Amino acid sequence: MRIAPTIVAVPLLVLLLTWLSLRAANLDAEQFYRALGELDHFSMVEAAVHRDVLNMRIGVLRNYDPLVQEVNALSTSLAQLRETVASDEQTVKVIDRLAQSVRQREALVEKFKSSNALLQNSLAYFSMFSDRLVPADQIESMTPGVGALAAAMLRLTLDTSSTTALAVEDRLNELAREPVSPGDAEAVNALLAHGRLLHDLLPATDAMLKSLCGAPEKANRILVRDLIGAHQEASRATAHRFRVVLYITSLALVAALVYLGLQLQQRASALRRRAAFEHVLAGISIRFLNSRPQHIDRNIDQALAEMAECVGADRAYFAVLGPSPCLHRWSRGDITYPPNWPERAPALAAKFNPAFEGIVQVVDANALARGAE
Amino acid sequence: MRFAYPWRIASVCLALLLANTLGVGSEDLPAAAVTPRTDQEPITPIPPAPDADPRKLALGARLFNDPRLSHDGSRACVTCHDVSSNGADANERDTAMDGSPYQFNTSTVFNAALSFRYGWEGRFRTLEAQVESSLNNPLLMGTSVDEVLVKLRSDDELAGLFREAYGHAPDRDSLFNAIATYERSLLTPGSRFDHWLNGDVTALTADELSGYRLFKSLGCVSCHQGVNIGGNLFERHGIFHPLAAPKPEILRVPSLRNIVMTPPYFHDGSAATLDEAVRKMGAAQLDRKLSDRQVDAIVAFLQTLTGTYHGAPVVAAQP
Repeated sequence: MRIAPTIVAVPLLVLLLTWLSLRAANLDAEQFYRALGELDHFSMVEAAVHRDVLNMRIGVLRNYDPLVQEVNALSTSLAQLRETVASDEQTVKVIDRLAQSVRQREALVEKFKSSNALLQNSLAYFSMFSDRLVPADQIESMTPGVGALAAAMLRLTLDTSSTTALAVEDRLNELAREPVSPGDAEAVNALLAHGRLLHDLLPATDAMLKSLCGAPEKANRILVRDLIGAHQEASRATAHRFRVVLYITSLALVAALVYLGLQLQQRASALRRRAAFEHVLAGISIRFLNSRPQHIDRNIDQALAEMAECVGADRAYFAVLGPSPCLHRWSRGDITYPPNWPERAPALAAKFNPAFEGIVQVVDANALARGAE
Repeated sequence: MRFAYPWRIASVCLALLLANTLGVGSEDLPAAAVTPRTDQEPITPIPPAPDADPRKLALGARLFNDPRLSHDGSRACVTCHDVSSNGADANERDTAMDGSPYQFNTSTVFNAALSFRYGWEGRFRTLEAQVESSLNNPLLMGTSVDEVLVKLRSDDELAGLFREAYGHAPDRDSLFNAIATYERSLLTPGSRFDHWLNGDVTALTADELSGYRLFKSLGCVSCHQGVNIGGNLFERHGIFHPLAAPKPEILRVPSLRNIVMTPPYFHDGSAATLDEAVRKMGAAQLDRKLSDRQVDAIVAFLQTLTGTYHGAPVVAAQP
């Protein structure tokens, strides 16, 4: 048996199966799940930023620490996302655009924080000074313009449109022109200072809020998700194809194994028969070696019978042609000889070309012409 | 129906709105034995220092004290940031390497890690970046990272400590990380105000609590809030009146932790006392001339912000 092809074929087959298995296992799936998970996390943090800037604006959030953590988390999340999809240049480009957008948003958040801090201060002071100028036990203010300014400012806290801002500006200018008693001068000046600041800050801060809570990042985020999704789908499809190839390969291997098994069985059977025949031949040889001349014919008959039984023949002949011909024959049980047999055997043998040392080999007995035996 | 005094309604509505956002009016509440609702306070207690590899921590502490981190070996980080006192020094402005006064007053290194950006202008996002900048700044340490690394690598003992902590000889990242790890450990928990935030109603006196309420109602808390009582946003100074040196116009709001122990004040160190700083802040940022009583109350509150380092209270640096 030639061993070299087997030595080459087996490692190649192992490599092929390993490669097919790895490709069919869709090992990239974990990476895509991580990327999508990170993108979800990014979206959650982004929503938290939106929530907390609104909470800061209305005073529900007590300090800026959560906002700082969230903004940092946005950058961290994007860095991890970039690392996860680093092998895909197209997605990395979109993530870089997203990162640029996050940096712009972070700058806006910082502006909002600074603006909101001043806004909260000035709102507090505006309220305090307007209260001081209009004590609760007085029906009318000593300075009438204070009430009108307070009303206009309240509208501006609810509606920061330019019309409302213009109304506040008018009230501020009116109050600035009004004569003020010396006792109220300091409070009116403070009211005007904070009022002017609020006039600028309220619309500006709300504009920042609108920009912050807008959706310029959404498009890039969706694009990243789509790209990851497309890669994930392609990876799945590839893995599916390789699973099919792996299945077909497995079926081919099973068929090959069955074929080889049958071959092995046949060869084992042939070997067993051959061994049995060799054993019979060995016994016959030993018997001939130990035989006396007068027992040769009997031993030939016995040998003929043993060999014929060993190969499962119905009839067997041993003919010696020549000057002193002789003929030995054997048949199984009550099987009779055909007419003119075994006398016709030499004539039939003469029809074939002896292959080696006068041995005639009939490969397919069924192929012989009917009646040839 | 027509409202006779719509401005009165507007004023009341505005006041209610603001009472919700800033706690205006809380000055009038009784001061003593008030249990804080931590989730409603704008300031939160200092957390424990983050876990760190003790080898990196020890190495960082050693580097912090090592004058080889300056070009001529004349100064170490600790020269200006004295952790045995207030994490800074008492100078209005420290002397730069060229002998001139440095642009900014030295900030305390205590609790610096709790800020969102580093340096007066908040130019640095990480402590590591600030360490690198300080080393390379010709006015501060006047050296370069490469020069420092050569010195450190030639010290077998120190190089061995780097190998123990980081598994290799000193390099840029391990140098920055060791110092930053140490700086992250420089927190000062245990202030009386933190005790109060944690539920100890006896930690503050009535005057101090009144000062805290005033601090909130005057609007100081709009910027000085969060765990570091500042340090988490940028703000323009001199909104209504000049405060200190006009440049830079926008600063990272400084922390008020240990503020009583860290004079002088402001980025140019121009306010020698806390009273003066509070008064100037009231005028410049709030357009408010604070009375002596108000200043005293706020300072009383600020005195409760002094924490402890290694179990000992933070103290002022000696001039």
